[in-house]
Amino acid sequence: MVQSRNEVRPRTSIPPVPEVRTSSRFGAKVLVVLGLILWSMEWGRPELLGQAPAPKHDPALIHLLQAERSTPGSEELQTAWRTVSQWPADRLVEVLAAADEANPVSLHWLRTAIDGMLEQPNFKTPISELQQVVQDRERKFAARRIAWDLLAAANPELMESITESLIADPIAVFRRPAIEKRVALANGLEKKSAERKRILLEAFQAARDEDQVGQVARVLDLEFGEKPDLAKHFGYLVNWHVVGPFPNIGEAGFHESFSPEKILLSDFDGDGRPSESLEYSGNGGMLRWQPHAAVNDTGELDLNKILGKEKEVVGYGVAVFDCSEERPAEIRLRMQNAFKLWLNGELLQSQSIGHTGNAFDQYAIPVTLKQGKNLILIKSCQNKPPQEIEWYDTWHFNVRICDKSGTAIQEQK
Amino acid sequence: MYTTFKTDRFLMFGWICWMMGAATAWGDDFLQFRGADGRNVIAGGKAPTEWSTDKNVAWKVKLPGRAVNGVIVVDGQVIATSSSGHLNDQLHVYSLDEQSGAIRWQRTIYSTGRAFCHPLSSMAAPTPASDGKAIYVLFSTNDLICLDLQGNLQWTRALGLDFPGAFDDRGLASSPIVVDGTLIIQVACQGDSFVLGVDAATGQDKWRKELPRSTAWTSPTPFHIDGRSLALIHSASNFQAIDPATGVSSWLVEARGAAIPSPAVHDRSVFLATAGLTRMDLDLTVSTPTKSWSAQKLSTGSASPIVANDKLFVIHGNNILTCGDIEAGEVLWQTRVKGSKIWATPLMVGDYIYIVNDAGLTQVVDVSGPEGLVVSENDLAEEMLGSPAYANGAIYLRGVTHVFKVAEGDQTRAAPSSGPTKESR
Repeated sequence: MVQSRNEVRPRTSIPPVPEVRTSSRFGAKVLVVLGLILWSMEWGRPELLGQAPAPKHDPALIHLLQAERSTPGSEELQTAWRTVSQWPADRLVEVLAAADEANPVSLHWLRTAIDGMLEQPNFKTPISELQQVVQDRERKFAARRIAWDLLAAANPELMESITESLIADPIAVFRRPAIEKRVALANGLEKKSAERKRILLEAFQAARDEDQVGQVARVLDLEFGEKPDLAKHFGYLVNWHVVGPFPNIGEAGFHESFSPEKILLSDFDGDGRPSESLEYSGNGGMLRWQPHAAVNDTGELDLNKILGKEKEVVGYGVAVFDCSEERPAEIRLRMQNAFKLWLNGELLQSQSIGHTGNAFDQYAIPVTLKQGKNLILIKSCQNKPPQEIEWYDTWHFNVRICDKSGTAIQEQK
Repeated sequence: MYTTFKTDRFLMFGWICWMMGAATAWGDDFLQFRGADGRNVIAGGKAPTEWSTDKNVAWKVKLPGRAVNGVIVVDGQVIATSSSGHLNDQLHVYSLDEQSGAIRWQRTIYSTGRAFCHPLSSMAAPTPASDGKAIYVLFSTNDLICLDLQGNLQWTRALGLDFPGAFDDRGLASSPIVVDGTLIIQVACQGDSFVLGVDAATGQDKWRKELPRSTAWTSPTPFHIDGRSLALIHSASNFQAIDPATGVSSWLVEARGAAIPSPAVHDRSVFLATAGLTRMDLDLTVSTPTKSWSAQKLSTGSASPIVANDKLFVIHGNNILTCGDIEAGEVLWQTRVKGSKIWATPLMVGDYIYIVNDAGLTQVVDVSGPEGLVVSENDLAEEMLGSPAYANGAIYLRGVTHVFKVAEGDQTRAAPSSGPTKESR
């Protein structure tokens, strides 16, 4: 018998309800019985009686959930792992319930133990239970993802059938296949047809990742002459003011607090421009904030073009984001250079590595936006390359404001 | 009495046979990047020199995602890793049966570290390692796990969380090695960089040494001298030999590295990819190794040098195989090989060098004569970046999606596999 998700929730030991007898003092007895029932339901909870609550998980799972970074392994963990890895299929949901509570390290133990379970003779994947987990957006990502992986391996046809229901899922892993499916459907339709356009627009609206958005946007542009506003779709900050360069000899500039780091919202005029009176001593003389627009389709602000293709320099970019309400959000960046990022004067991220690779949403920083104007300040440091390699010249970034699912948060007008 | 004697002799004979078999099996395993001794040279080995998609391929197995590393062979298993998912964050370990290619077991974890890399790379860039007792798998995300030979998880580390400033986002690729019970991990990037000694039995740190904050995709190299085992580390700007038990450096000398090729060792010498190639002679009684020579004409591209029979072999970035004299550092001969790029370190089996290019073409070069002679070109038509492995007369090639076993004769008539992705011939 497969346990449901609720069956692995805490269980309390409930005392037996006394037998009710008919007597002349029936009313009083009923009251006593009702009282006992209430006692058994509420006051009879083991923890209130001084007893330990019944464990939520099997002891082996509890061991695995206790794995953390400081305990790479132990005999207890290894024994628990072997125990769980030999469980039959009908205990898979228990392991998934534990995955809801796992930390990144204990998830390694749980996930690999599930692999062990799959290798047991006669293991029969509990398809409907896994489907429930995949489609339950209240579940944690880890459990859903494991269920997704197992289901995809065990019953790809079923996965295919439920894919479309996940097109608005907040998690990209589940959303992407649905978008792929829409694009494939559109690709099978007559070019320039209204139906093809409708499906492509659906896919575009659902897509959050750069590759999928770009793929659909190109077709909409080339075939239908509709150029989507990618900056709006992604939530790129486009309107920037930039100042620099400042010295970064030997990467010392990363640690130095140059005057632009003191900029405040009150330094901006009604048109959103930093005051003309803000003037800083930098490389080559006195420097002022200058307006620059990022590339609309990519949100990219190329500091090489703005400040010159220099090495060992620091540049600053500042932007204002007007939010309609206080709300959680994420600031996401693509940035190859060492950088610091402030929101409303608070330093949120400091990354000192001179040059890295770059990727869409390379950094995702959870923040709380305040209602009204929010000040976003970026410090970007160009270093001196150890070798003459072309990609060491890169000095650009993009920033977008979105929610946890990657959906752009639009500025209020 | 006579019977007993015969029985004893029989048991002794059986025991000797078993020991010889065990020794042979262990000796033929391919336990880490460039093999157990880190040289990628199989002196007495013999392997096919010709194959194609329909000849001498005993089996090939498709694995999920992408890999740019090599496989290892241990205890009858071929261990391969890969990463998959649009974020590269699903990390896989596969055990394939050496004979049949059937999947014996597989393990998946989800990345705890950063999973960004150049599109050419993968989180499965480091080659796994084994000491014959367990399997150690490092991914470019800095996730590190240890499995026993049956695939049971022994311990796991999230080095990306332990050292959040140690990343590159282009894709780290240094392969771990095991030396005398210590797993040696090198993480060299423009951020926090270090070499870490991890107790292979427990996964706990033994020691950690900082490295220069500069990217190097080189791998630690095992080195044995005067009864001691050491790990050689060539970072972007220096070279050192580290005691695996204590982390103490025997030498630390300046040697600006070429960033990708790892050191090659031979007898008491090490060959470092610098601006060219530099030979250093090592002596435990002195504090600094002796620089014997440095040769610009022996510079190497991405592949590590190999050394055998008093000759060294390097592949220039422009795909010229160059043979050099290890004593003088002089060029003996050169021959051009095909390929837009060669990432894999070549493998030497007997008199042949196997050079795998990025398009999956393996060129076999006979180096027994006065000049190198390309004797065959073997195309498997798949992108290949990982270095080949050798075990028990077979060569194992890792394409970005498939593992190939190349073998002659009976080995090509392996039993069919139960694995759904297995393609047996």
